[in-house]
Amino acid sequence: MAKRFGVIAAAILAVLMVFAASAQTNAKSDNTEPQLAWPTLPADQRQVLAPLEKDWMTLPGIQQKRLIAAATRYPKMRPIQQERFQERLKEWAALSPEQRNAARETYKDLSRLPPAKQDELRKRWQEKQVQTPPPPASN
Amino acid sequence: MNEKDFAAKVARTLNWGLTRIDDDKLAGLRTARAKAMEAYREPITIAGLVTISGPSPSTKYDLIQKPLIWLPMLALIAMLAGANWFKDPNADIGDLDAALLTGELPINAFLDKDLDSWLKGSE
Repeated sequence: MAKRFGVIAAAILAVLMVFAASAQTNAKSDNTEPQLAWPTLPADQRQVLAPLEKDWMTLPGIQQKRLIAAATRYPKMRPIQQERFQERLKEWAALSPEQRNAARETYKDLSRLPPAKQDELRKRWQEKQVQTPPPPASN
Repeated sequence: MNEKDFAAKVARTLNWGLTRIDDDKLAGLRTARAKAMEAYREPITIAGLVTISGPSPSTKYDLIQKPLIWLPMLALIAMLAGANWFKDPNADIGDLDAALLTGELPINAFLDKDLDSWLKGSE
C-alpha cells in the first residue's frame, strides 16, 4: 500500500514540476520574443493586419505574436466583427502594454457577469456617451 | 412416443447419471462451485447504461498487470502536462484580444473609469 502511494506521489510531483517549468518558460517568453519582419508574415495575415503595416516594426515581438494570434480568428468572424477588428486594430496597437492589460482585465470582469447584467452595463455606458458632449476639437 | 414422454425419458436418463458420480469427483465439483460463488459479485448498473461485474476485491494483480493499470493513467497525465508545455501562451491572449477588438463596446470603454467602477460595484 505504501509503495502504491509512493508511485502516486511521484507521478503528481512530476506533473507539478512540468507545469511549473512550463509556466516559467511562458513568463520568460514575454521579454525574449523576437520581432517578426512584416514580409515574413503569410499573405493572409498581412492582409488582416494591413492597418499596422507601417508601425509593425515598432511593436515588441510579444505584441506582434498576440496580434497574429488574434488575426488567425479573423476568417471565422462575422462581417460586423471583421469590420470592427479592422477599425480598432490601429488604436489597439497604439496603446501602452499597461493600457492593453487594463482593458483586458476590464473585459474579463465584464465577461464574468451574467448576460443580462453585461447588457445593462453596455447600455449604461452607451447612454453615458450620448449624454457626454464630445471634447472640443484641437487645432 | 409423444414429445412429453420423450422429454421425461431424457430427464430420467440424465438424473440416473448423477447418482453414479464418484465421491472424489463430486467433492471436486462442490469445491469448484463454492469458489465460483465466492468470486461472483452482483452486477452493478450505473444510470441504467453501464453494467459492471468485476472480480472480487481480493483479486491480486501480478507484476505484469500492475503497469497495465498505471500506464494509461501516467500516459494521460503526461499528455496533459505536454499539452500545457507546448501550448502557445499568446494564443489565449490572442483569443481575448480578438474578442475585445470585435465586441459591441469600443476599446476606450474598457479604459473608462466609470465602467470599471460599475463593474466593481456589481461584484
